[in-house]
Amino acid sequence: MSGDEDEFDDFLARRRKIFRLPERDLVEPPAEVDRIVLRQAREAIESRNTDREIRGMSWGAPLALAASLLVAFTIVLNIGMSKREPVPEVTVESVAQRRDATLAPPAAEVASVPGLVSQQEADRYAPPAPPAPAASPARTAASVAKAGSAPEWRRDPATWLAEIQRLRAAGKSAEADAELAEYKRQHRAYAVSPDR
Amino acid sequence: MDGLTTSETDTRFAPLKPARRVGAVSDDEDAQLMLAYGRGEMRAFETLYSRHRAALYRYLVRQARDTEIANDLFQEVWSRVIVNRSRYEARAKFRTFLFTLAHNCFIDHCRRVKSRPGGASIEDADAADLLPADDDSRPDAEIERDENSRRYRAALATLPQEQRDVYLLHEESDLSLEEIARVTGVGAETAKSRLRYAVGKLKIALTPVEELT
Repeated sequence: MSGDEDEFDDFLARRRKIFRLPERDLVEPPAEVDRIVLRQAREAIESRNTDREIRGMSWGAPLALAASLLVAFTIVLNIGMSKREPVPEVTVESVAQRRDATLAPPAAEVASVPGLVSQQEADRYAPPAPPAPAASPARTAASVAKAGSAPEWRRDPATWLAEIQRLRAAGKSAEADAELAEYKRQHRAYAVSPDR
Repeated sequence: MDGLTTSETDTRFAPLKPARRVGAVSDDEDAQLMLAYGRGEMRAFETLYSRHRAALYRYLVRQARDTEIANDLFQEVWSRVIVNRSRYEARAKFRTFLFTLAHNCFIDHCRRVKSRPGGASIEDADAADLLPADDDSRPDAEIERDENSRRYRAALATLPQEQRDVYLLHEESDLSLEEIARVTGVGAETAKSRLRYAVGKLKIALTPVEELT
């Protein structure tokens, strides 16, 4: 048994062969397989080299840096410009003023207060009035007033607002409300404090 | 260039060197070659390939017992070497790395065959080895060599898979017992035991060297 052990130990240590391998069995890979493997190995490193060339172009990094700086500069400049020149708010009055300028109406007919439009212009740009509900007396009065000749105080918004306040102070709340509603309809762009 | 010709039209290798020569090659040198290939040096791969192609192929042919399957597995193993070239670290011998890939490829192949409905079992290939060789009008020496070859393959085929694996790794890869254990994922004692059983069975089936000389 120890002879077998020694023999196996020698076999393990590759000092000795236990049996002879047939030479015919010492096979090799076919040449075609060799070619395939070598071609695959070559293509792998060639494709990697191509990738490297693309990634490692000498002008790539400076170009990227310049592009980044350009974008950053443009953004900063844009923000600075917008702070210095605020965009004017587009309002009905400004549009009307521009339109007045292009249509060039007689200067005397345009309201003298800057930023305000005449009654005719306000009527021209105002949307069509909603159908009148069945009618409070005050509303009817306002409508009648409008249907006939408009009161003098309606031509000037400031005067009109003063008239509304006067009506309210006189206890004619219904009329004041009707006037205020009409005022709001004609002058949508004006902010009227809720206490009026 | 170690017997390697790189011509695209006729890639041939020098006459076969015995597997034992593999062990003579410096493992450090193999690792350096693999690292060089990872850096893009094709000649390093060619040298590495020429050193290990025959031993790896024999291992796979003996395991699969089918040259077509062995060819596929051989290409698959080298493909994995190529794919992993940049991740290779010289912590283990290149041969250990190579034969671990080969072992895993073969195990994967066995699983694929087993899971395939109606797929031919690896053990089915043994039947052809056990049939008598067709000795027609060839010279006696050649017939004898064929007979020896057939007996060797048949004896290998009778070994259980684990024993054959350990024996072939010992024969073809020139790895130490510890390295074989690492490749096959078992302890060194288990690997030694399997190898002892394999050698014992082959001794019975094959003519010992001393009887031939």
